[in-house]
Amino acid sequence: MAATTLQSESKRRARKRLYTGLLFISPWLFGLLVFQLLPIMTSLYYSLTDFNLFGSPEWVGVDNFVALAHDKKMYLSLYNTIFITIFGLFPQIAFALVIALLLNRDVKGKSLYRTIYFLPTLVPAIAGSLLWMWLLNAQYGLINEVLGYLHLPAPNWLLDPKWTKPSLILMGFWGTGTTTIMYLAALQDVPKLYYEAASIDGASPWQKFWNITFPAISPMTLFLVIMGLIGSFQYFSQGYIFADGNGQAIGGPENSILFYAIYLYQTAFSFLKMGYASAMAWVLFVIVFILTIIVFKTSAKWVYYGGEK
Amino acid sequence: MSANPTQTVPHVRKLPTRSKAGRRVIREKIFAHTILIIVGLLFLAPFIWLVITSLKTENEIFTVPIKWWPDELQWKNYSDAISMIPFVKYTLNTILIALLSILGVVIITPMVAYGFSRIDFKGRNFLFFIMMGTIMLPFQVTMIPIYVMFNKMNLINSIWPLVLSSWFGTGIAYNVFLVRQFFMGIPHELSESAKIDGASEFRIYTQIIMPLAKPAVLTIGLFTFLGAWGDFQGPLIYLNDPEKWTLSIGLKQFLRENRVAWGPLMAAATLFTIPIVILYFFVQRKFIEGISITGMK
Amino acid sequence: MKKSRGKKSLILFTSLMLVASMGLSACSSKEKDAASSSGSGDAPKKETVEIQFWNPFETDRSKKVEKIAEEFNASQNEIKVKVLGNQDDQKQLTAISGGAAPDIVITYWNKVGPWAEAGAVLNLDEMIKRDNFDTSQIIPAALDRMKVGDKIYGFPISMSMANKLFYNKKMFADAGITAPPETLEQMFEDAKKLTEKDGSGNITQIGFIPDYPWIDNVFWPIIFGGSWDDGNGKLTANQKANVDSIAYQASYYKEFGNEGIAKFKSGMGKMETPQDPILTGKLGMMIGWENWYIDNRGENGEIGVAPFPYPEAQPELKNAGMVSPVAMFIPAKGKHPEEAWKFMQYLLSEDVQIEYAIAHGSIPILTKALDNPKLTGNEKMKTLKDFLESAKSPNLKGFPNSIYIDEYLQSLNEETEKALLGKISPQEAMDTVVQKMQPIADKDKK
Repeated sequence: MAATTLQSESKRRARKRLYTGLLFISPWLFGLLVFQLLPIMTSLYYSLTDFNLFGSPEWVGVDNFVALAHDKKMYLSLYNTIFITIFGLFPQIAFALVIALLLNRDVKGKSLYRTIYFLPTLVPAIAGSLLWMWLLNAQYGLINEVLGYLHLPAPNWLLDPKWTKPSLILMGFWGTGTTTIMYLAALQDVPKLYYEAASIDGASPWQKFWNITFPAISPMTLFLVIMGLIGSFQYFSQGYIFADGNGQAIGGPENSILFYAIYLYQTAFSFLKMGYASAMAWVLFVIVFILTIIVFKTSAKWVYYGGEK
Repeated sequence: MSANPTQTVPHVRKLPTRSKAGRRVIREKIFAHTILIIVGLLFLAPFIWLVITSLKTENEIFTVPIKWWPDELQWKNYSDAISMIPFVKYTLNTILIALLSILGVVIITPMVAYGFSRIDFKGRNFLFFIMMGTIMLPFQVTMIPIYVMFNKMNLINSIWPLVLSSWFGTGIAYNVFLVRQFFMGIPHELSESAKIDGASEFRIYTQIIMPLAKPAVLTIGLFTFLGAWGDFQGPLIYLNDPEKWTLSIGLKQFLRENRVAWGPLMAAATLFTIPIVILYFFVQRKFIEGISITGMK
Repeated sequence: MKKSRGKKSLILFTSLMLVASMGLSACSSKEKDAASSSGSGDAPKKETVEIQFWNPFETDRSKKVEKIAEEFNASQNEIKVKVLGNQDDQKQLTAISGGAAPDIVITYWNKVGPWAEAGAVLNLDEMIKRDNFDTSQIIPAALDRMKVGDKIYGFPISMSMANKLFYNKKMFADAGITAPPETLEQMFEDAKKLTEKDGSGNITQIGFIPDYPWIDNVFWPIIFGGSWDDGNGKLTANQKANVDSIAYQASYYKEFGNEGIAKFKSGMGKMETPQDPILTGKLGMMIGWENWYIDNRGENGEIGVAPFPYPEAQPELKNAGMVSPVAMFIPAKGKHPEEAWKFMQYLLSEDVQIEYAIAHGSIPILTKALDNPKLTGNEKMKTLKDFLESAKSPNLKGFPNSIYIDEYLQSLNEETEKALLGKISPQEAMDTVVQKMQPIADKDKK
């Protein structure tokens, strides 16, 4: 008797939590059902059809996916995308963390630095990219001017296929302000008491970082890595403007900056193959989803939430 | 928040012998400043370059070797830029879209983030992954179905597709995930004790968590503003009427097919950027302390 | 229990609120639209039909289109044309595919074919026949770009063309070249004379770069009399003429060196700025389009204009060139095709064509307009004189229309890029393209 009431009591509570939870997330649920679900499902349907954007889609089953498996250009674009994810995203996050750590010390003029480091992210993508193509111009660009002054070799940033991706990555460092600011904010939350205690115990700065700082900001790292992965796999605007503004065809010299999303865009709107492009999108979805799940699963080992029970 | 470090710092300083530690502190400070200044200049340079370029003649812009400072400041580029497009109108249009977007985002996001972080209900993780999944599909393939939907709602050529997308579109996942990460960091004891006192989740949310979340809300508000300010594709696709256009569409006017008006383009880009720099300057303090919300050390 | 039921109804309530607020906004925008369309008509006559006329031009250029539309609006009161600029092809495609098509659209020639084949563009044959519209008055090479097979899907509104050689007069004089080259072989020799290197072997000025300002996969094969399909669905990009055209371009890279050209290119100023290489005497010759260097082509200008050279062995290819018309079409799902067609005919009338060409500094698409003194006598059109004359040339051509046009061009581009640098032979490059594209063409044929 007592057991069953206890059981039903806990069931009742679980149900109550469910309703309350659903109530809180209801604006998102509403958005999902009304604004998101239909377009998402439509694209899933397109991926199984031949669709030229104007006519009516023709069912082709998994043909698009089969063709995609043999598409050399798709692999090239995926390679380019993975390249900037590995050599762009992770170094950029690390760089932002270093800057944030420096800014988190009691340095004078903190707010001035903060403004400066955030400044580039305020410049709109169009202006930012134009500016960079300008700076990277092999002859009268500022960067090669400086490199020449230092007697360093001046690469042909925009035209040499070996240097186009590094150019974009370099440009990416300039935009790490948001990441820096977020890390800086997370650092404000690290209890100072811990550092004091560690100092008394004679901990080295490196030990302090690994044992106090890193765990404390790990929820932010998780956020930045996951959002960075998602964003990096959809890398589009900069690469697109970069080639276009240089009078090159989409994809740049020897397709060295043909990224997955750019190839997808071209396939959909220039080649009018929306079915194929949708299949590409869903393949990307699966790749990113798996990566995200892996990161989340490992996060139990390295992410610590202050609010965890 | 800032009261804490000032209390602790003198205490720490007193501990070891003054001269040795003092020298180390100074050395560390010089080191930190040196790096910050060098990198800071690298970050500042392109922006300064933008501003200087906007004050040059076209001849000076392309001179080899680089001309660092114009012979005569070409303020004309600015008057040209302003007369080429209706700057004030486009600015107001952009601000209207940005403000409406912010309004919805700051109400919706913390609520949803609260549900995803502090209420332990069945299926929560499943729904959370669905939400994350919605931003993993590239927008290129949902763009047309979304356009079709807004067209059926008869909202084309109005700002509503832009505003509603910011409230209910997939982009919400970014904000929710960010705020969730902070809510997860707030000690559970806070809400547990309130629960024992008989407070409902809604009361805990409005009276305990929300006051702590103000800075986080400011953050997503600012991000939303920046997003709306820089968005080009959205306004271009949904707004037909030139009366309704935004600044980012205006900026495109300078990129002509045959001849780019470089001076005015750079002037316009500067004008495009400066309002948000000023806005950022005013909110940056709150904004940074901002994202950190637990507020308890 | 009671409480949670309360919550449930709260969910319902919130959702309803949201739906209601959306409905409201929808209504209000509808009302606004209705108000603006009924309120703006200042002609109180019976029913004035308003049609939307989109163009991809930036505001300044769009205003010139607007002026012509206003004259049309003033000339009658059945149709009111509303011009919207800045509607680029991405927007056009989204709106048409998304069910909000405008009534008449200006776009680039390479969009008409694909969009027509995909079913987005109204076929005009019936209306042309019914109204006895004379299509023979349109410059054939320009009209061909509006056709898929024999069917007409749009009309050119103006024309751009590349069929001249622009050269730096001073560089020619300095190198002792008295006349611009007539054949491609002479051109190659002149290019060598015009090229100079410094002590360490760096190119300081160059005679010609075949892929400046871009790799042109349409222009070059036309100069060699090539083609891209045989009209029956067989792709011909790997035939001799096309391959020769790439080999010719590659010969410049062989002569001056890949590295050397790349290095020189990276240091060249942007086109049409004061540091432009052909203006500053760093580049001797380039392909000439009618709307480039307008201010530098006069008697006293830096740039000389000559017909683009032809292959010595094929004098019949003299005056060959590429046309790139700006197109207009009526979307298949437009709501006012008849009114749009009427306006389109207005835009194709001789006086309007001349006005449009003068306003834009472009070439009109009516053969008879090319000799009209109103056009040729116009001060602004003086620099275009050579081009107006050669617009009558029978050797003008363009790229054939199909749904896979962009994919074909992209593929040509990728392979040509490799062939220019000598990574593969021109024949290999073009074989690869045909191998890749033929199945796509076959699929389309079905």
